[in-house]
Amino acid sequence: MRENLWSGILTAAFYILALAVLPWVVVFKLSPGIVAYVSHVGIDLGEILCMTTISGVLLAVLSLIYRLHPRGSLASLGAGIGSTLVSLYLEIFVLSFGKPSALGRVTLRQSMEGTEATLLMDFRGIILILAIGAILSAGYHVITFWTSRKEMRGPPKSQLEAGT
Amino acid sequence: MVPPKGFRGVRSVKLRTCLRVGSTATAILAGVLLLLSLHAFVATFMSIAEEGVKVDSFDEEGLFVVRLSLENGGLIPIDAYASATLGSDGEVISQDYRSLRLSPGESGEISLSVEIPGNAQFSRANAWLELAIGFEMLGRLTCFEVRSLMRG
Repeated sequence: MRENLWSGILTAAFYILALAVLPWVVVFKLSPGIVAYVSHVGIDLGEILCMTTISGVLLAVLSLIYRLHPRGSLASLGAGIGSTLVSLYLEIFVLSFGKPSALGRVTLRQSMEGTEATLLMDFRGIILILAIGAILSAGYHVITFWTSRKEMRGPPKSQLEAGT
Repeated sequence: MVPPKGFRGVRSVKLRTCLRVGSTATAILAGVLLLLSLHAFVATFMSIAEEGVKVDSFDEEGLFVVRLSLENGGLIPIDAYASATLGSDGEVISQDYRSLRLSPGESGEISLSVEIPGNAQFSRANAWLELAIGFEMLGRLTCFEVRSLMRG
C-alpha cells in the first residue's frame, strides 16, 4: 500500500510537471514575435496550454486513484480507462492544434498583400495508430479488472472439490 | 488473494502482457512516425526555400513555367507533388500536376507549365495563380501541403 502510494505520487508529480508546468515555461521562454505569429496563423496557444494543464491535473488525479485502489475495484478500472481516454483526447487536441473536431487535419492560413498562403497538415494516420493503442490499453485495464475479480473470489467450487 | 493457476491463468497473463506491450508499442510507433514525418517535411521544404521556386513567363509560346528543385533531407522516402492552376474571375483556365518519389538524400526537380490564353478576354489584372506543393509520407499516413494563391 505504501509502495503504491509513493509510485502514485511520483506518477502524479510527473504528469503535473510534464503537462501543467513545462508547457507554460516553454511558452514564456518563446520570443513574443513567435507567439504573435502563431496566433496570427490561427493557433490559440492559450487554449492549448489550458487544455494540457487540465489534462495534466486530471491524469495526476486518475493515476493516484488507479494506484491506491486494488486492481479488481471499479474505481481502479474507471481510473485506468479514464486516463486512457484523457490521454487520447489530449493527443488529438494537440495534433489538431486546439481544434479536436478537425481530427488531425489542420489548415493554417496567412494573407499578405494579394497573396494567400495555406499550410495543410494531415495527422489522421497518426491519430488512428494512437486510437489503436488506446483500445489496447483499455482492453488491458478490462482484462486486469476481470482477472483480479476472479482471483479475489478464489478458485471455483468444482476445482476446490477436485483438489480435496 | 489466490494467484492465477492453470491454463486459464497463464492465458490471461499472456493476454494482459500482449495488450500492455501492444499499447506501449503503438504509442512509441506513433511518436517516432510523427517525428520522422515532421523532420522529412521541414528538411525537404527548407531545400525548396534554399533553391527557390523559379517562375518564367513565355508570352510568345503562351506558357507559364514553374520549376522547383527539392532534396529529401529526411530519413524516410517521400512522395512529393506540385500543382499549378491558372484562373481568371473564379474560372480555371489551365492547370498542371506532377509528382515525384524521393528516397532519403535524393534530389529532383518538378517542372509545371500552364497555358496563358492569347485571347483578348484574358486580363492579367483579374488572373490568379495557385501553386501547391505537397508531401505524402509513410503511405499517406501523414501529409503536408503548402498552397499559395497569387492574384493579379
